[in-house]
Amino acid sequence: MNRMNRLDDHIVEIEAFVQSTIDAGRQVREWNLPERDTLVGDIGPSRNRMVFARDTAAELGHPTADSCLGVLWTSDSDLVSDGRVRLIGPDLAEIVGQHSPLGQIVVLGSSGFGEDTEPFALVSLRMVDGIPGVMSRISPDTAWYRMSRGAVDGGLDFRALGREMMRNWKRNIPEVESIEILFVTSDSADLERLKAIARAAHEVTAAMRTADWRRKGIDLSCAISHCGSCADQSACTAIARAGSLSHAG
Amino acid sequence: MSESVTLPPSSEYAVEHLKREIAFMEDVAWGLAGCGDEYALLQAPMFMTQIEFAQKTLQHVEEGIPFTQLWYPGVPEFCTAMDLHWDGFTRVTLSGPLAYLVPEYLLKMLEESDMTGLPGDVCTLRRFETAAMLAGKFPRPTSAVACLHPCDGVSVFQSACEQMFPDTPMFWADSPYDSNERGITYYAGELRRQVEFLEKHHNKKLDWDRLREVIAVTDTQYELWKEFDLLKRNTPCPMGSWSGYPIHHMLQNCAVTNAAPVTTEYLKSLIAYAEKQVAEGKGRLENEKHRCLFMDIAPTWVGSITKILEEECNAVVVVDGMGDSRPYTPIDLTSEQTILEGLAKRYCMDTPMIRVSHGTLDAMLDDLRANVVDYNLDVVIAPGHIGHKDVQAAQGILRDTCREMGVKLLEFNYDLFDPRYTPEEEMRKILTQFFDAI
Repeated sequence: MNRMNRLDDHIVEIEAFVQSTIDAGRQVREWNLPERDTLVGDIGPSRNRMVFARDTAAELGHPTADSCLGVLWTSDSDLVSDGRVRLIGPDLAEIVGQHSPLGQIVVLGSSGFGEDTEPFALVSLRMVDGIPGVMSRISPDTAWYRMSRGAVDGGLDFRALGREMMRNWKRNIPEVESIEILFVTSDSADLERLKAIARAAHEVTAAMRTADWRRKGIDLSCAISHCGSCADQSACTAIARAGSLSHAG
Repeated sequence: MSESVTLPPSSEYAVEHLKREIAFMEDVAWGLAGCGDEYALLQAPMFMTQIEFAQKTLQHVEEGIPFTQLWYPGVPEFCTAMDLHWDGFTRVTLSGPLAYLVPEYLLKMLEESDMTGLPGDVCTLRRFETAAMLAGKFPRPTSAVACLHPCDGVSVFQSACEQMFPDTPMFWADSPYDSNERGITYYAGELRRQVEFLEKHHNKKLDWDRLREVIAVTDTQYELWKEFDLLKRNTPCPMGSWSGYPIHHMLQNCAVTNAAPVTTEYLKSLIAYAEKQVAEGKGRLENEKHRCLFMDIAPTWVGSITKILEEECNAVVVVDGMGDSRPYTPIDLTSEQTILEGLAKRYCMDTPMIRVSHGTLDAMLDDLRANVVDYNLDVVIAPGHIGHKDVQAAQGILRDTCREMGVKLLEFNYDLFDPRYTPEEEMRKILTQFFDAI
C-alpha cells in the first residue's frame, strides 16, 4: 500500500466518530476557514511566550484531565476538508479555571511528503508557535496546552487556535496541501474512543518511522534496545557465534 | 506475618564512617550558610536534609531499628507510607553531596575504587559502590530492594551487596524495557511483590489509604517540579546549569525528603526565584549566548565544567538528564491496581534518565526533539560517559537528528565520576574550541 494511504482507514474512523456524535444529537461546532483568514495577530514563527501558572486561564490536556494527540495524513483529497476546524465539547471561554481533557486530531492532505516521517514529529512540537498566550508540552501521543488569561479574555477560541495551527503546519511543511483539525474537550468517554483510533494510527506511523531509519542503515529496534524482544535474535546469535568461531580458528 | 531476620550488626567501620561523614557535612554546612549567596543558598535544604538522612540512618543502626536499602527506582513512596526508613546506596557511595563539593574527598574515593580491581570500562559509580562495600562502609540493612534499572550495570552493585550481606533478604524487581501497557502491567506486578516483601521482612502492613495520602503529596511535588522546569524555557534562562538536578534527590532519592513539607517548600522557593528572574528579564548568565541540553546527569566534577561553560563559553545547561518539560503522570488513586500501575509508570518509564537509558531509541529521540524545541536550545552535548554506552552507541543517530533540527552537537568521551579520565585542561579545550567554532 502506498505509504500516503496507510492511515486512510483511521481517518475514516475519525469521521465515523464525529458522525456518531452528531447522530447522538450532540453539538459539533464547525468552522471552515479560508487560508487568508488571520484571526490572531500574525507574529511569525517565534517561540512560545511564557505563561505563568498564576496567569493561566485554562489548561487543556493536563495530566490530571487526559489527553490524546494524533497526526494523520493521506493523498486522498476526499478525506480532508481543507481549513475545517471542528470542536466537540466546550470552547475555551467555557473552560476557564479548569483542567480540561483534550483530544486533538490533525489530518494532513498531500500528494506526497517524501520518504521521511521524522519531520512530522518536529512540526508537531511547533504547532502553537507564535500564538500569543499559548504554551505547549507535546509528546508523540499527547498535547498539553496552557492558555493565558490575556489570550482567552482577548477572544482566543478553538477556531482561532485551529486556524493558526494550520498556518504553522503549512508554513513548516510546504507539501501540505490541505489540513483539518478536530478538537475534543468533552469527556473521558470521548477521549477513550479517540485514543483507540489514535493508538492504532500511531502503530502504523511508528512502523513507518522504523522503516525510514532502516533505509538510513539503522535498525531502531536493534540499535540500543533489548535483544530479548527481537524476532531476529536466534539468527543474530548464530551469526555472532560463527564470527567468534572464525576468530578462534 | 513477620519474618524479619535478626542480622549481625553493621560493621564498626560503617558506624564510624557514618559519624565522620555527618561531622564533615556539618562543617561544610557552616561554610555554606556563611556564603551569603542567594542562589547558592537555594540549595541549603537539599544539603541539610542529606545530613538528616545520614543521621537517621545512624540512629537506626545504633538502636538496632530495622531499615531497608534501596535506590530511587525502588519507589520511596512505599517506605514513606510504611514509616520504614531506607538507606540509599548512592548516599553511602557518594557520601551525599560530598563527592560533588569536595574535590579532595572525590580523589580519595577514586583511589579506593582503583583498588577494587574491577575493569576500567565498568562505570565508576559501580566501582565506587564496590569499593565502599568492600571497605565495610555500608550499614547492614535488614532487607534490600534491588533495582535493575536505569542501567544494566547496577546489577553489579546488587550482586556485591548480596555477597557482602548473604543473610539480608533481597528483592530483585525485574523491569521491562517497553513503556507500553504490557510493560506497565508487568512492573505493577513486580511492585506488588515488592510491597509483600517489605511487609514480610519488616513486620509492617502497607496502609493503602496512607499511601494515597503520600502520593497526593508527591503528585503535587511533581507538578511543582514541572512548573519549575517550564520557567527555564525563558530566554535568558533564569537559572544556572543543572539547576533542576538536586530536585531529583529531594523528591526521589532521599528517605527524609520524599513527600516531606521541606521538599514542597524547596520547590516553591526555586519557582519563586525563577519567576522573579523572568519577571525582571534576568538570566543567570549576564551574556547568555548558548542554551544547551546535556544528555547526562551532573558529573561529580560539575563545579569545574559549569565554570568553563558559563564563564568561558557563555553557555548554560538548561536541560540535563534528569529534568525536562515532559509531564509526569499523576497517579490514579482509585484502586490498588491503578496505584501500582501509576507508580510503575512513574519509576520505570517517566523519569527521564530511566526512559532514555532503559527504554528504546525512540524515547531518546523524542525527548531530544521535545527538549530542543521546548527550551529553545541551540546546542546538544551528548557526552559518552564510560558507563553510558547507550549514548555512545547512539552517536550517529544523534548526529543525524541534530543536523535535521539545525542544532549543533558536541560529542566526547568522559567519566561522570572521575575527572582524571578527561582532565580539566582537556575538557576546557574541548568545550572552548567547540563553542568558539560555532
